[in-house]
Amino acid sequence: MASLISCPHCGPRPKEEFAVRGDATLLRPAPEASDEAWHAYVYLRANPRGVHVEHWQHVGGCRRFLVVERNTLTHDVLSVADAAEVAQGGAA
Amino acid sequence: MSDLSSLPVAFDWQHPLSAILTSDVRAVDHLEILARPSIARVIAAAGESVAVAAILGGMAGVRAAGPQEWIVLDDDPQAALPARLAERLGSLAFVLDAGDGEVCLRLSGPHCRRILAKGVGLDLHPDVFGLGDGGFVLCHAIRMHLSRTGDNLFEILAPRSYATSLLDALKRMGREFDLSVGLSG
Amino acid sequence: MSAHRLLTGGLIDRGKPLSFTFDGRRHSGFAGDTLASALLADGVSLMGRSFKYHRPRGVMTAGSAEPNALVTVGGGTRREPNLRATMVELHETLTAVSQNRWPSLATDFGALNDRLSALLSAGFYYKTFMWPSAFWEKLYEPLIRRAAGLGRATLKRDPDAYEKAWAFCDLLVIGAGPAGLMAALTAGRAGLRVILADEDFRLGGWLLSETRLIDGRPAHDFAAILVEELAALPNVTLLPRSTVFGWYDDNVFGAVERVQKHLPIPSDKQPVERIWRIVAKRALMATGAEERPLVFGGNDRPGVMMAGAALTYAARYGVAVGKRVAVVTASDSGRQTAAALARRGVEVVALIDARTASAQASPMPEGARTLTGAHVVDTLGRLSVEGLVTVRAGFEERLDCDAVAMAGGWNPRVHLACQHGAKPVWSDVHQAFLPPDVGPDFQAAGAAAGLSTLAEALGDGVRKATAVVADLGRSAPTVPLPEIDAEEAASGAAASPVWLMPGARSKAFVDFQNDVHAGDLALALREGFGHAEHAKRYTTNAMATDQGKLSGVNASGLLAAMKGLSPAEVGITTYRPFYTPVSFGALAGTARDEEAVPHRLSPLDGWAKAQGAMFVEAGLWHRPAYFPRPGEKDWRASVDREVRTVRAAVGLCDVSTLGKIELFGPDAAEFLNRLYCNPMLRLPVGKARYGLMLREDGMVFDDGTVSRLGHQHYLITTTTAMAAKVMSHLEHAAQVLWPALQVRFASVSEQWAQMSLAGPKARQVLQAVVEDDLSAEAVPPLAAQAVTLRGGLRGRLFRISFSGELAYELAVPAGHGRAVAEAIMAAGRAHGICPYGLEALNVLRIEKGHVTHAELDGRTTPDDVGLGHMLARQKPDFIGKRLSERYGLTAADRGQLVGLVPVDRQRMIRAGAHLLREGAKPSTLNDQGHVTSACYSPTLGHPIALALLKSGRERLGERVLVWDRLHKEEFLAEVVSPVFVDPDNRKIEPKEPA
Repeated sequence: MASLISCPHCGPRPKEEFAVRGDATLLRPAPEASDEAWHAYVYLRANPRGVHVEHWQHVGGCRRFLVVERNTLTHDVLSVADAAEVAQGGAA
Repeated sequence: MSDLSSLPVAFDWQHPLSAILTSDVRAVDHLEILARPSIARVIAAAGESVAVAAILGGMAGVRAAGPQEWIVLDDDPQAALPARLAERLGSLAFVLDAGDGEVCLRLSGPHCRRILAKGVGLDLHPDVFGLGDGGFVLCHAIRMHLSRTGDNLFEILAPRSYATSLLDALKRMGREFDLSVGLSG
Repeated sequence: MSAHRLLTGGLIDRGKPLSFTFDGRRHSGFAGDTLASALLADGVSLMGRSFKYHRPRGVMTAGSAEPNALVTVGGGTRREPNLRATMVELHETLTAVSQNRWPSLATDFGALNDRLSALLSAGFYYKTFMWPSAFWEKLYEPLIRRAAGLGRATLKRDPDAYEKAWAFCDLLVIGAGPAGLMAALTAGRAGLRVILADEDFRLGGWLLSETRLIDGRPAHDFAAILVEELAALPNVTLLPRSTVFGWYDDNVFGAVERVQKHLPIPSDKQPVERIWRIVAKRALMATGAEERPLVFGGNDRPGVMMAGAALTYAARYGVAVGKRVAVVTASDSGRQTAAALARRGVEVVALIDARTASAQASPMPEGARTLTGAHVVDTLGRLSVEGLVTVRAGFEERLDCDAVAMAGGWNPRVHLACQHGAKPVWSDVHQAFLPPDVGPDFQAAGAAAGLSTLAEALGDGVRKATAVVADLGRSAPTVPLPEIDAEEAASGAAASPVWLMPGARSKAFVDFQNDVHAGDLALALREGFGHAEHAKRYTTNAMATDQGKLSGVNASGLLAAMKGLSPAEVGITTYRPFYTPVSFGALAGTARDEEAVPHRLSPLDGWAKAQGAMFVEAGLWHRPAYFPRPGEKDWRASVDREVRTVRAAVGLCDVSTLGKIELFGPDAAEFLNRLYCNPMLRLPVGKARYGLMLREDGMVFDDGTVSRLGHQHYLITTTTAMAAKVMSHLEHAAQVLWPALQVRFASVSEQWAQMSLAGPKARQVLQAVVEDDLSAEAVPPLAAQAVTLRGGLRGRLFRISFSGELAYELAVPAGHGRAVAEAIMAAGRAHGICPYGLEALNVLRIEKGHVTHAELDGRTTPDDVGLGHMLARQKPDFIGKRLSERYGLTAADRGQLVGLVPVDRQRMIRAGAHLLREGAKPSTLNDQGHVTSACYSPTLGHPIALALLKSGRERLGERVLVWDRLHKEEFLAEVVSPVFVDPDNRKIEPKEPA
């Protein structure tokens, strides 16, 4: 894991200020979606070797949820964006 | 109801750090504990952050506190900031009184950055962390708001329940420089 | 003057003698000495015993790579084992003792292992201790444990302070030798923020050992002038005594600064050690090179050491390591060192060069014999070297000498650059492993980059720093390069290393600390462990505290030679942090004892202390557990009294630690409706409601209350334990799941002091401090409203009961909390009020069958704990709705909340005990459930418990076996309703007039 994460609101901060919340590509299914869809959303997780997109919350800083794209192999952080802005269509 | 007559008509207000030992002599590096500032938290209503920022932009004591949130502070306890801001901002924002929930500390002196470096993972060099810059940071596992309010002057806002632990940490961080501690007012 | 101290020279202060002891004997040295240099000056060459064979060993290096001279320094609480004597700065009254020997360094019984070495060959752990397996626990492990380890750590409390700090810079220069100093100067003059760190207490690196003049002055003076200029630059930070031990992601470096380790008594104003986390835009690894030992028979006898170290002792410390020194080499550098030793007044009696005469040309000091094409096959002497045996063209010769300086070539110190997994690169030109290219942010400079001459190193420092300056958008000043007397030839093709001198007559050591010799590596290869990483594990080569700084490359070279390959094909074992050992104290920093984690104090903390509370840690909080009174013989007596007082009169409890979140906005109701499993849309203004949050998997997440303070204004409470998690849960929902909802919220936990006033007299007492009408009509159960206290203070009042009694929760601004609590206590005195703590709170809720996280343990559904009716399945969606409908979560045989009463009313039930059918064999295979909460009920006069029992609600009246294997208890209990007290809720609103 990277030593520093550049929060779009607070700037570069030590990783200790962040908490991971897991895969950011999962979308919460509609209430009437299939059992399989819900099972996958709640329980199934990929463990990719390479690029991974995750939610990290800046709990020690602005408390925003961030979408962090990082490489689990090289530890490079490729991008960091505010999760709400991503969810609402990436309007920065 | 027999005890009613002996009850106070008003209830004393107590600072969470009122019982601490303060320094006899003020050193060049000093930590001032504000006696009872008026503190308000302002949260813009959905879609109103630009309008709120415009209004707050003209005011003193405004600290950025993350997206669409601000902390406004006045040293004067009579300032009644929460009520004034609520009136001024109307439906644009939600205003919360934080005067009891936060403690305010001011760290000043030539070694203030070296003291803070012992707890805060943030580059505080004057060219990087400018006057008026600020935000929430983690310091010895305590989330606090740090802002630069002068050349060698930093302001810290921290949750009341952590005040004693944070003060202990700051004293330890400042021991090398004989940091003094005092209550204002 | 001491036996081996030269008459002049050295960077020691001969005006400041220091006295110290080693193994109880008094010695003296000077300020500027290390423990090793002072001992050598006093003629002490035996400094330690090796790990496995307990062979006598002397100092081999003058730096951090030292494998042999490990000592324990200090006594009492400050006793510190395994320090390298070469890195211990001498101070007055220093006491050091040798290690790994008994009864003394000169006579060590453990040396018997050396005689038994045929039995202790490589891999002997794996072969010897395999069988019989029953011997492992009883015999082998205790035996190995006793033999293992070097010095002994103190078990006493460390009296000193440690800390961690952050630093940020444009350029971090690691190593203050020729390249590092020039790099720091170049970048410093250009205005960059520079940090220059060096593990030594004096900056200068090799310049402190150099015997030639630079710009017409001694090399150490040249270094001192550079250091002086750097120290004066405000943008440059010098960190002497600081080892950069790790290179982490994003160019963050770890360094440990030994702030006060060199002082007899540290000041309490500073830490003794400080960990730096250095965030560097660019970094230069100017860490120099480590001299390579030569592997020949008897190369571990005290007095045999690195040639460069011998020169450092002469030039820097004014110490001749011997009166008759033999130099053994296979390279030009050994010849140059021999010449420099002679220049510094050390008598070199012989130069033994493994190469033939044609390979070299440099002149030799007068009086020294030169033997070319010669090998050393053995050394003579016991506790120190007295001579050596050479073989030249089959002709054997004995040479008298009292020190042997070996020069096998140079290994760039590539460690840091390889910590991310990149491997060092073998260079045929340099005949050495060079640092890998790890990108522009971290580059090697000088000898660390494979350069071998002083002029090249100085120039490389300027060049690499100039590139960094330009890269960061600044213009670099011209830094002129100094003139060097008698410059040596520039780096050319290096000679092939001699990995093993043939014909060894005794063990030829590769790893000195772990006693791995050339034969061990050969055995590893024969037995199929020839891969560099396998050979390391099989032989323990490079696994000692020095992590193979001297032995790693030689082992690769030997394996390569034995396999007939290039070292490039064999490679070298992995480098990981830390470069050198870092103390646990430094790694812990300030996070120890009470300061390990912050603690949180309630606004009513002062009030509770004044009331004599006994406190308990609950997460980060310090909360009152109970309030003992004189004459109460134990905590139970206090708790029982508190419970009875609440049931009969009134009690006051601090509940400020509950999480409190205020929500605003047009969609606040909808947001809450999706967060809680029960309906929230039609909660009236001025009312509170119990709420249950689920996780998405259908299990209960947390419970609390929801109060509607205004049309679009809510206040929710969380349990103390889950306050932070619930906040994060809300933030996730608002920012990630439903960012379109117009809701804003903030934690107000810190702003309010909150107290619960419970008991039949609660209303009368509260009315004494609250001005508003508190009648049942004005403030009915589950009312939530703003109130005015006497004197005009504004607060919030909630008619909420956890105890089952008539109860209120009153919230006031935190700063007024203590005064309000004291006023309530004063008002309640006539009614017999008492404060009650967490213990009584727990008993009260168990008696009433209310659940906490003891029941809501992440595996229970609402129905499991009897709250299935709260699930609003008609709601279109809420978190946890979909998966709570799964068969497994609705099965009839799930554990269900029940009450338990012991058949023998004297038996205390313990939480955690298992439940079995009456008569069933005690086994977890027969498990029917478990006890979640248990207490003595003062109201009923006997123990009670809450439990989760399979299909429990159908089994009321049944007897079950309570089985606690841990406490060896088995007894019967009766299954009853979980509501033990006032099942009809009559006490919430007492009928009789006040």
